[in-house]
Amino acid sequence: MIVTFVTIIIIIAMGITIGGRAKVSVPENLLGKIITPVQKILYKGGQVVDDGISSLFTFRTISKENKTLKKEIAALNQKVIALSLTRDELDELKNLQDALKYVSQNHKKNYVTASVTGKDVGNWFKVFIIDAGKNQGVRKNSTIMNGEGLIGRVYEVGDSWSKVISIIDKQSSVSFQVLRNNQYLGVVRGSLKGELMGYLIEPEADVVVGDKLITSGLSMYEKGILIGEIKEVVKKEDELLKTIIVEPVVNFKKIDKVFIIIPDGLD
Amino acid sequence: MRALIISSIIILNFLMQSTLLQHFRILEILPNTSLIIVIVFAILSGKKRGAAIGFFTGMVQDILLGNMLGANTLIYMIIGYNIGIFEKNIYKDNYLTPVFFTIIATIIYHLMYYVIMYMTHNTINIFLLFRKIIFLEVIYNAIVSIFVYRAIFNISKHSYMKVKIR
Repeated sequence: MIVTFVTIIIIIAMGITIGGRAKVSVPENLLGKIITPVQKILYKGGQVVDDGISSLFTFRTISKENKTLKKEIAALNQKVIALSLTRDELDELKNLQDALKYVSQNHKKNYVTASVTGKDVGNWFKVFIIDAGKNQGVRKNSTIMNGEGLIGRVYEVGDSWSKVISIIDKQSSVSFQVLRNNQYLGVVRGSLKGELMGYLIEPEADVVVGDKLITSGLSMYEKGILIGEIKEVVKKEDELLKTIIVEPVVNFKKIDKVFIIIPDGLD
Repeated sequence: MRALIISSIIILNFLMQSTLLQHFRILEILPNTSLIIVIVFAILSGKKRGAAIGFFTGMVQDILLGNMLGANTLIYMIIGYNIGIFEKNIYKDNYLTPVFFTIIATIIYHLMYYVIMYMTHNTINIFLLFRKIIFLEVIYNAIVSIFVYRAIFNISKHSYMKVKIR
């Protein structure tokens, strides 16, 4: 009898809270405030032990990686010189733009750093908790990234904690553009397997394996954040769209510090 | 006293599951220790307490990591209640009891979750679900349930827990 009654209340609560709220209720907020600091310590401890143990077994690959990275640095240094020349040119053009009183759409963005305190306990979704919330200025649907690339977006906000949905979650979909040619747009979604599946809007687009994808700014995510690399291009005869499988750049097993991008003048 | 111990077990389990246990994922699958704890308490202390413990375990999970309030709460409560019905008719000092109930409850958990997700427009391929998640999680949960059952069985022998054991 009581169970039936509670079941009905729970179903109503599910209906109300589906899709995430901009602000959680007082008891939820309190529970989050108590639990997240403890979680943070345990999560950090786990990471430290894991790093220590795994580095013992992988020292050979690390030294190999070191060599390839050194080569990469040499190549990148040359690129930096080339790019700095282009930047000077761009600065001049921007000055020209100001002189011509051209309207620019330059939003100022605020960055907040936070650390991950806990990850999803089930196997269905890829949700995690971070230790920044409304007090730090985080809002629902703010973009989350780290040094490597796009991670996800804020789903629910507490006072000093918030829930984040990562891009490899099934519920998430990101609009992207190909870095090499920004005419090619598309959408990637998470899947059960933990990789990103997506499609290109234009079926004739010639994307190849290894192409880098960045956010296009058409969805909730900020523009120009690296998502990942194309791992596989599937073209089916009977479908108009070109399907792609994308390998995310972020290693979701090892995320620790994240940035939250808070756009100015958006509510 | 009893309520305090049980609630601290629930909170401690959540903390472990969301942080340290993450490093024990095998093929991306994490054993659901919350579900096991609900099953074990339902076996040991009956349907009323099973439902209440299921409710609070699911609530903590839903508030901090769920994508809507109530999905896990509902499933854990129903599983706790229904397993608790069998409380008087099962052997409690046999380790196969929790294994048997864990296998059934894990499958039911995922099927109920599938129904809730289906109703909220999160459809996924059910065969892929069985192959990628349920199959592995059933095995993993069954093994973990033996250890969890043994630990909680030992705690519940103390007089302050007031659990009848035959």
